[in-house]
Amino acid sequence: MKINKQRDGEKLTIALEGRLDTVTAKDLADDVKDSLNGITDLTFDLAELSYVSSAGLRVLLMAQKTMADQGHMRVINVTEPIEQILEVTGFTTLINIE
Amino acid sequence: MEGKKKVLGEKKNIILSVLSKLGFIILVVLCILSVFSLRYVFESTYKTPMCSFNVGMGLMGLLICTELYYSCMKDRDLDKSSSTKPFVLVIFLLGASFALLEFFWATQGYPQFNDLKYVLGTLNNGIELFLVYSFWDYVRKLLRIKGELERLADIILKVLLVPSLIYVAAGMRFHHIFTLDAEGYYIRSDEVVYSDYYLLLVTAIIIVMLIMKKEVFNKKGIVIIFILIPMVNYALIDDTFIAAQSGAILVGVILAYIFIFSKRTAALERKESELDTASEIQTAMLPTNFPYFTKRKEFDIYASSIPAREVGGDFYDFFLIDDNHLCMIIADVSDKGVPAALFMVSSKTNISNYAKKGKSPAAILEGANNEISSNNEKMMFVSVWLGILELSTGKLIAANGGHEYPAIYYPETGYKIIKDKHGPVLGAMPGIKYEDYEIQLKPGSSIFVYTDGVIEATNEAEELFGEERLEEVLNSAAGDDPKEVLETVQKSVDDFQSGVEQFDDITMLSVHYYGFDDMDEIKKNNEITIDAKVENIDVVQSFIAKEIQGISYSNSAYTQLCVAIEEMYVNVASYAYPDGVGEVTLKTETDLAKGIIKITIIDNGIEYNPLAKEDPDVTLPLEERPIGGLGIYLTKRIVDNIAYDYIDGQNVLTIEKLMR
Repeated sequence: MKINKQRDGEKLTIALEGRLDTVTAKDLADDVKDSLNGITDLTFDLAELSYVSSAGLRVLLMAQKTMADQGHMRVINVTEPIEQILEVTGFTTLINIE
Repeated sequence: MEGKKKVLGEKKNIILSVLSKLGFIILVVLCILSVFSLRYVFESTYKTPMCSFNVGMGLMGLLICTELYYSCMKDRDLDKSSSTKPFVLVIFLLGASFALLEFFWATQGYPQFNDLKYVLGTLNNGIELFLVYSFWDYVRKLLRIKGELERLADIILKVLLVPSLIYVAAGMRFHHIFTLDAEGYYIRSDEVVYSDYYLLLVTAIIIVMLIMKKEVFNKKGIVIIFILIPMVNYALIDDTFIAAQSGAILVGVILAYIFIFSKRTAALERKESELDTASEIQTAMLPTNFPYFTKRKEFDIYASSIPAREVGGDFYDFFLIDDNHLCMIIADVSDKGVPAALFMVSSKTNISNYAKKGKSPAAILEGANNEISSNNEKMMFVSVWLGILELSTGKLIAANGGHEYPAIYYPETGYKIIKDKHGPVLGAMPGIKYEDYEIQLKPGSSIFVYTDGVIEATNEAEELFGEERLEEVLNSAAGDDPKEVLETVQKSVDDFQSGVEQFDDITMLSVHYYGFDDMDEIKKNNEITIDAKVENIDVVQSFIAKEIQGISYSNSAYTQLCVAIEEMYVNVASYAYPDGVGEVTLKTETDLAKGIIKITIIDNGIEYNPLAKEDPDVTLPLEERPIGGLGIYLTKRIVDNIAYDYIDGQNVLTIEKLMR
């Protein structure tokens, strides 16, 4: 999986490409933890993400919890297979999906 | 009663066609005679400019009329409206009048023709009267004048024609219209006004009609030219029976011809473009982007439809009702052209809709027939063969509504046309019952269905292609795949009817059944055993990706399957072996026909039933949501079946997922 980050002041966009599974979720979790300092506006772009398992969802939930304290977070370009996973787990009510 | 009318109509048509040919022959004979009569002009001592003018005009007018007449006669598509017939009559009468005129002026000064000229002159006066009446007839039909007034006017004109004709005919005896002197010169009597009255009356009536009728201008314009030109002519040259007058009428006739012709061309063009569009829409309704169902190994299908011309009424369709049932339809609408195309569209929709409800072929035809015939004022019919093939068993259930017999191929016996049970065509009347019949296909069998265009293809010797020939051709392609079979039959039919225009649409559909049991991939079983480590998730995922091949699945279903396997595998890899060393086995069972994959995950680790874990509350707000505990819950939600068992010291977890 590729993690493409783009930072613009207090604004951060993380574009994910490939599969977000148990193994790759760990990398993402570490990466996100280090990047959120001073960020008030976080965007996950999932246009190129082909797969997500519960491990990946955990990272999103973690990020959401962090951002709830310091700004806001949104998830964009969610494809249908991934949206269905988000829906089953009730994530669509927790995370701001656009 | 209907039949009788039809026979009478046909008789009338034959008489009309004979009459129209006779008219042409008469005009041609008149042309020849007129050319011959020119010699009298050269030999005569009586040569005034008037004489030369009239002879020339007469001859030219006659030739033009003959030409126009021929064009109208040959042009079968010429505006089939009722105004054409009187128009052709006007041309004929005008041509005859020109011929007589030419003859009269060519023989000025030849007293030996006096008796003949009294007859011909009188005839010409009569023709002029008919010409005026035919003109009226043409106008009223061109403008589609109808009603009490029109009927009254027609009666008056018809009635007045009688005394006028008597008056004209009496001229032969009493010479009150014209006389011929001893040297054969034509002298017109002063009181000759009979035909003028008649023409005036017709003109007056037509003007009234023109004013009353709201017609497009160009039609009115034509009529006005007809009226105005002779009137101007009357005003300028105060003499009847000279060529300029008829010439003036001729100009009107030519203009009218151009008008009819251009109108007809425009109408034809419009019709053609409409037909093209209809044809395109129709083709777009048939599945034509072969190959279809490439993921299905049990069968291969191909179909083609070649309309004879314009748009036809044939159609075919095929689709999977569910993963195990292939529905095939071939049908032929009883008519051609746009009405048939529209009927085809509604029939196809109807039949397909009923078929997708999962009923038996007979029930589908019954339902579709009720629907079609309840709203079928045009009384069009459609013959339909509909079969449903159970892919797992090769059982074909079919019903036939007045369609051609299907041909079935078995590797042992070759192709045979099966005389199947027939019900009536669809569309005749509601409430008809159809009957299902069953044919057991074997692996390697084929079905070939077609429309009557195949067996009724006709060669130059007027022989039919026929069922026997079809069987022969099919057997020459025995065992070929459906596309090749159809191409072989098409080529054979094309060769057979070479030199003859294809009369009917040729539509064919063929399915080759490879069978279910001799396909080891249909239900395949596989397994891998790997070290139970999270890092091996890639190996697991690629194993699943390989196993899923051959099943038709949606992206969402595939993602969900992968998620479920990952969650369960990671669960084992993380918790089953506390010291981190152990193996896990994955077994798959795929049912391609049903599109179901079953995966069993087995480990020898500590006993643990993930299904016993309590579900997390996914409605909790963000702050109260625990980060973990989602995997098992997620898996339970996205698979169709999940079961756990602890057998002989092994954790056995089974997941089933429908991939469609």
